[in-house]
Amino acid sequence: MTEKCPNEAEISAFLDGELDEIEKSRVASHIADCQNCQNLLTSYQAIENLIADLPRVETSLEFERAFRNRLDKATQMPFWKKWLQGFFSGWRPVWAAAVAVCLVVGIFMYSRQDDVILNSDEITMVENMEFFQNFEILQHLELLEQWDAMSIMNDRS
Amino acid sequence: MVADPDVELMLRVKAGEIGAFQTLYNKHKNRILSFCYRYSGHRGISEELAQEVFLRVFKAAPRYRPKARFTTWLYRIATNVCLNELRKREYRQKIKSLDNTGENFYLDTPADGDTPSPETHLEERERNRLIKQTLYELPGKQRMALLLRIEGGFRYKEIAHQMGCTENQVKVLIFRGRQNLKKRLTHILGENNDGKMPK
Repeated sequence: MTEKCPNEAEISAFLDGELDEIEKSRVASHIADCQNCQNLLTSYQAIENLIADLPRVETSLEFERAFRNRLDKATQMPFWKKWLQGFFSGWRPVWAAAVAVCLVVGIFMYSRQDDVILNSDEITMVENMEFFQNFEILQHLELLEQWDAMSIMNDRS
Repeated sequence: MVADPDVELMLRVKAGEIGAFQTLYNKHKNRILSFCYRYSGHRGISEELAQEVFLRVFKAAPRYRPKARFTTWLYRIATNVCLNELRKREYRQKIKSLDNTGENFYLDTPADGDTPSPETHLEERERNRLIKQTLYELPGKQRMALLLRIEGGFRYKEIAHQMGCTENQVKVLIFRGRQNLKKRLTHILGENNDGKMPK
């Protein structure tokens, strides 16, 4: 009794060792008894050999030279980047000192923020802060502004 | 699991060791060139492709993370380079112009040191030219899958990763590639039938 032949894709996968154990066993057992499947497997193997046996190519001197040039260009930094890198790396101690000075100055200025210099009007306001905290008085500030005039009128009367 | 020495080398390239890159390059350059040559069918173009592959390897070094064998990663880059570059219109135009000028398409060096007689050499060259021409006439993805299998020796799972498709698609691509080659190379294979399976 002839077992049904596996499809050609299965024979191809069998050649590549890509079938699972059960399928591999089934196909192997069939091929052993089927001349057509053996011929197909043989022809696929022959194609594999034809391609694998094609002469290899090797890199030429020109190839090596061209690749070296491309690699050099790829690893080369732009001129401005190189300059900046050299500038910062060469003057590193100077830059470190400049940064340190800036930090110190910045900290100093930040700590001096509370030392506010006031003008004479502001000093008066600060001295009379308790007075101004009385909001009722503030609401009638316009009366206070007229206080001097009212005092004079009162004296006259 | 045996450590992959090429992965170790590539990690050293990642650490900045140029010598390690040189070692990797020397080890794989001819294989990659052959691979690109089999795919592109033209020596000049294959050299550009191979250089591009190694350039990308070098540039990718800082980001390299060994998830698989080094060659799987290397051929993934080669696959991308070949599939992308050769889609460009310039390639087709180049090929057309080369066909018109009659330039020799395949410039191979013999694999071994033997020097066959002129007649044998001519026959062998013609035979090889025919095989390569037939391979080149396959659809791009069939050709790529076959080459990764035959030249690279990769499993279907690896090829699927390299080509960005499923294992089943790889299986079909390889099978169809073989089927097409078998039809066209029947006279070389020495068969008288088309190899169809009996029903």
